[in-house]
Amino acid sequence: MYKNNNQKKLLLATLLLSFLGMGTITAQTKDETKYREESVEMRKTVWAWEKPQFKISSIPAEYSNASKIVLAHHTELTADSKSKFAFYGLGFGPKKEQTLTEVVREMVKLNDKNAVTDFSELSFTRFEKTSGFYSSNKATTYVGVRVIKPNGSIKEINADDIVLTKDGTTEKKAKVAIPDLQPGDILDYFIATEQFLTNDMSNKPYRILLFDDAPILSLSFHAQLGKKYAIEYRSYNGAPELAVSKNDDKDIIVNVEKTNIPPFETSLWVAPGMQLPFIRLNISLGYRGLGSKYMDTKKPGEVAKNTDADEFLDDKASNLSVSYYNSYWMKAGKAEYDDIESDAKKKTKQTGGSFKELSDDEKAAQLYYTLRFTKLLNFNIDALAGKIDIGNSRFNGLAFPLFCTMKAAGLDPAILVTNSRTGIRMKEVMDASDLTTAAYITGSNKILSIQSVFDLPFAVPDDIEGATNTKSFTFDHPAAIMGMKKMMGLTNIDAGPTVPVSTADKNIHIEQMKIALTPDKNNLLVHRSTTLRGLYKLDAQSKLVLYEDLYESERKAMGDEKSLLEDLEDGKRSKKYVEEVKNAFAEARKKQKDAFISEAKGWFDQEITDLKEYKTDKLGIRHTAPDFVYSSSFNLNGLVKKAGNNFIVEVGKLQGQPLVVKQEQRKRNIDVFMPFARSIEYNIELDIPDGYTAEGITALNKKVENAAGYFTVEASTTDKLVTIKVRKSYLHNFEQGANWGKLLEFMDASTEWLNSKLLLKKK
Amino acid sequence: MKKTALLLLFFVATHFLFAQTNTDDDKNVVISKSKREFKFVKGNSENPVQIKEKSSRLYACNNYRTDIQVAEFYNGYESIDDVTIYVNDSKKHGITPRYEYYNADGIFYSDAHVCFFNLPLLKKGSNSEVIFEKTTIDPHYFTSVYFMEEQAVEEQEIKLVVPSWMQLEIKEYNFKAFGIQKSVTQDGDETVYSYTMKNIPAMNTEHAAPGPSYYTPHILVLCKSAQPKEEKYVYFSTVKEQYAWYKKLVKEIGNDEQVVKEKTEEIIKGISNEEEKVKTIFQWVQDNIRYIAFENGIAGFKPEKAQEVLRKKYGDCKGMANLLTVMLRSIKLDARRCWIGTKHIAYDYSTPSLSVDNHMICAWMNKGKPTFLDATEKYIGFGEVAERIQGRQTLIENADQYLLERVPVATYLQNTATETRQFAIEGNSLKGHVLQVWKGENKEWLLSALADIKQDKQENALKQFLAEDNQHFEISNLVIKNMTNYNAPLQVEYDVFWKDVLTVFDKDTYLELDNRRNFDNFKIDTTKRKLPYWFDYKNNLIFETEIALPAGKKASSLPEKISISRPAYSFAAGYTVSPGKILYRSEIVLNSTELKPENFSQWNKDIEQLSNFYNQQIVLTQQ
Repeated sequence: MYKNNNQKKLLLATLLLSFLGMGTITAQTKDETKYREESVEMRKTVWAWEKPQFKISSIPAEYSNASKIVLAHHTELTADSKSKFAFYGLGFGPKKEQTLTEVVREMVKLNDKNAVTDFSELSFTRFEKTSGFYSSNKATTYVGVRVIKPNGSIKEINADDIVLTKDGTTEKKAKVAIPDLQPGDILDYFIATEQFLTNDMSNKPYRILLFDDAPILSLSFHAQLGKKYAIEYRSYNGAPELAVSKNDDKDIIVNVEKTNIPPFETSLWVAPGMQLPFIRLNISLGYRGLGSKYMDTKKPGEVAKNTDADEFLDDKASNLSVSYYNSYWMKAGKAEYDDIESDAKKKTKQTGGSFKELSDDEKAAQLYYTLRFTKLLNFNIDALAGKIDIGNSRFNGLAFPLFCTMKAAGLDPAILVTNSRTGIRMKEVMDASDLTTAAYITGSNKILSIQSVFDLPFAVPDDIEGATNTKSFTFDHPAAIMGMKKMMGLTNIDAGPTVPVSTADKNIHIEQMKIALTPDKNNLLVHRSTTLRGLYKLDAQSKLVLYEDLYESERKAMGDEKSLLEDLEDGKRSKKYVEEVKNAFAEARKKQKDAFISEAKGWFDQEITDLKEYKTDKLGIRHTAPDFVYSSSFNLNGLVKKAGNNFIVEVGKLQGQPLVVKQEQRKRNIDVFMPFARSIEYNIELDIPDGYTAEGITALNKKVENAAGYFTVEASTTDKLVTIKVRKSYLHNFEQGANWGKLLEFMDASTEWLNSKLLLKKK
Repeated sequence: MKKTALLLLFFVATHFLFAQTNTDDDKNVVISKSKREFKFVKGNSENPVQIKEKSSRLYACNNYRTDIQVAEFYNGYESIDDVTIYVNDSKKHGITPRYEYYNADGIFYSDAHVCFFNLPLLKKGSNSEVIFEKTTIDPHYFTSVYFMEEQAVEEQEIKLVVPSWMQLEIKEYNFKAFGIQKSVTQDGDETVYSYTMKNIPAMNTEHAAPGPSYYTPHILVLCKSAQPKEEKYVYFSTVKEQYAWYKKLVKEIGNDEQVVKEKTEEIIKGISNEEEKVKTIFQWVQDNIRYIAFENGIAGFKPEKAQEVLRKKYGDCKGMANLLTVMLRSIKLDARRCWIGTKHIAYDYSTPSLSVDNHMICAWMNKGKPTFLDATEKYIGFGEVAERIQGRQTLIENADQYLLERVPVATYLQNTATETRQFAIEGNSLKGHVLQVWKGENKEWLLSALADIKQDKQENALKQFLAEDNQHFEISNLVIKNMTNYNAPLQVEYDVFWKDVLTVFDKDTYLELDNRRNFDNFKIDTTKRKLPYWFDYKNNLIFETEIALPAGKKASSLPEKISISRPAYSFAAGYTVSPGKILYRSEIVLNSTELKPENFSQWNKDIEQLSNFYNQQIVLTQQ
């Protein structure tokens, strides 16, 4: 009892297809007997594979101490299809049925208890059926598990060891605790999923990952897809090329194998899409027939290697064109954006301005704030909890609504389309979802994006900073639109602007700290004022800013007279619930203190007591006042040490716990993708108590500076005060692997400085 | 874990599985009225006595509208017959309860299920009501009724309706602080036990606290016998019946001693001493049988066959205890299965009930004296006893009889961890040798933590742990002894170069020697904590350092020693000087694992004194 059983999410799970879509309940649930018989058949087939990689049991010497070694990992994917005629209620139509079978088998040597625990339990969804209109999908999963003991004997688990944890008609979930599994054993197991799909012509994205935290001696993939299928594929970041051919039946045959893959363990500042080897396939049932050109279906049998990324850009353009037609070209859709413009004009007037006299950028900013205030911060009693927690909501940038808002107000906006800087390269995209979007004003090229309610107009999201290969989408607006082709073809694609990159001084965390010894001289009494700027702000804003404060700050900026509560009190309906709102706001305000304590503890990595005078001074939600400033006073424990009549203050620890690179991460040759360039600054003023002098000030000074960043400390003293200015800066959001040593240089200096102390010596 | 613990969980955990625990000051939603009735009724031939439960809870919204999650558990012996939900007196709310398998922490598979849904409270002042109707099909499994809920309860009535053909005893626990009124009335043939109460606070869960049976008001229902028709059914009238029920299950196991014997003889080949045989078998089970629990239906109480546990190399506490028993018996040693309630449970066998125990161990009877073997404790030594079973009463198998004995209580010395350092000063650094030794549960804790780490990362992880994550504490020549022999203390030796640990200001050198700072800042937050604090085990941490001083250096200031001695714990630390040397010794003793709330304030003061001691530095001056 009391022991936790960790359930390993098998490596296999990352590779499993997720093909399920809509379907009607037409199929029969397989009964237990049939399922067992099929399981037996499946096991017989898989165990009989004549694949030499599953016969190896010797381990290269370099991996002899590894926790686990994947000896072989093979995926077998087969897909077949047929057409039938079926009655759909309104008439007969063609019915496309597909059978997709994926078998993923892995043989892994488990060398220690940790590996045994990881693999000792296996969970899987045995049978799943989804339902909907028109198409029908169901999936059945089979597993086989055998344990190969060091003496070569093989023990296979039997069906009775498998238990059901969900036994529904549309889904059965099962798990198995693998018997007789011990360190030194080889676990040989597979998960096979058989899926029946009807009328599903959608693209099935598939990934083959060629990295893992364990060494892999052989990783292979084989697919046989019926002649009606179409595939496109691409290898990324040095992954081997797929061998694709067709057999006599015109089936598409796909093969790839890689041997001796070393373990990949660095997870610090890695962009998997840019740096790690993998292969992507898009598999779909080809279709050429009525409406196919609007369904984006491929030609049956089509095989495309490294499809031009423009095709996926076109997909994105078509999608946005349809959105433009429905949500803007149609008058009903545009009305909402007209309302925002009208509100923006009204609120400009309320604050003594004139909307039409604003510059285009100022208009864009006012529209941005109006959209945020009226559509995101607007109060809704039926979503009370959600509104109070709005600071933690994240949005996708809202490129399209922002574009439409600007367009409706007569500005000249466009949608910038590019890749995420840590995602898939622009020229290697294989799906419209690889692309990211942001609205911008042509001419000034200023970006507008809302990923949180704290975002500012013209602030560039970190994931598109520095994008050079960008596209600009605008939309035709003809008087009349006839037919699907026209509706999907409104988007104009042009070269987009280069997105700027913020510098380290723009993303900054500044701590102003006035420090004195507590009266008992055991701790430090700290008054702290923190200023966060740029991309550094969001996390702290989400934790510390209250919805009520956010709303009220914007309400005043918009020139609305009444506070939210006053407004509610005056409403015929809302006055009935205003008391509730007050109660909910009061509770949120009560919890704010815990948030301040938790933030301070997290930052300084020390015990915080007696927190008081905590408040958010500036919310940092306007581009004209972008700094987020908050302050508090508290006792910071553990940094004052008594030494005879004197006191030692561990000033180095005032910088909290800087990021320490683990020993195993210090050796690195791959490039470094950091979130953004950034700086941290501490301006510390320490009162020297009466009757004491401060010593050791000179030794606090430090300067390590190179092309990647710097760590500097400047310390000085007067009779009454020690002043210490600590600055650390990561100058870029990206460094080449060769510069890793430079990063380590100043990061290590910062870690070293943790040990810094000064002496308050009794006179 | 046995089913009883699960049953306890069901009663206690009902309604607070998914939501956060309400704190005292969170009174937005309360249960304004709760009525729960448990009625013994005549059943069918298979289950002649059943218990029908009808519970109605009226939730009131005090401050602002919200949703709460409601959850009710059931299992193979309990069914949910009906759920009625009213939102503001209306049944038109579109709520559909979901019924799902409940994956209890630490149990691989059980028959535990949960019915749950979100219940809206539409506005301040509104009510929502939930009525559950449930049936328990066997009085064996109807053991307790807990009176606390996730929300505070303003008014509650709990009734037990007992017909004259049902014999039971009710034991009341933790009533004192809650003003619970009891009445017993006769309604025709039925005796009605009524408990009424007002203002019962919300269930408060705290980290490292006693189990709920220690502090929440509840009743144990001891079903003794029933005669609904002609036939009389005896449940647990005394512990004798409970033992008989367990014994019957044991007889039904179907152990194959021959299969087990072959393996046992292979394991002890070449060993002649009986105690050595037991030690070897015990560690073999610890090392080779993984803890995986199946608790579906009777599997919650009946151990898995020994040969099956041996084949699968996994089992739960019952499976391991049974396997150990059969293994020892197969080589003609006297071994017994022992039922036991861990420290988490407040009762002993003076209240015969399935709520009393939740665990099974094995006892090797050596000349009539038991040595308790708990193979779920993966790294404990032979003869060592884990805190969670120390002093607990155990029901020991003894043919048709039984023995009731208490597991011995170990002192803190069982778990002593010692660290001895010898250092010399080199510039601003210390260089020297360290020996660390862990015993008992300290050893078990460290070995468990290491086993969770991949073997190729273990040495680095251990070095990081020993260095307190300080890159200046450079460890080399690390030697680990007794990693795989749990009957000997775990021992680690290494050399250290502790870079720049000395700070020089002018002529003086300052040094903070104790970087372990055991129990530093270990204060209890008295503004939040209401329940006693339970440490995992008794503890004894000894830390000694000797520093050789270079010629010409002397200690000009040493921190004043501290010595705090309380009945439950003691802290002592201080420096002594001998020619050319400074000696430091600290010792922390936890005599008892419980800190009572009335002692929190003293504990905090003592911890502050300890922290203040740690915050003092040695001053060395050039002579």
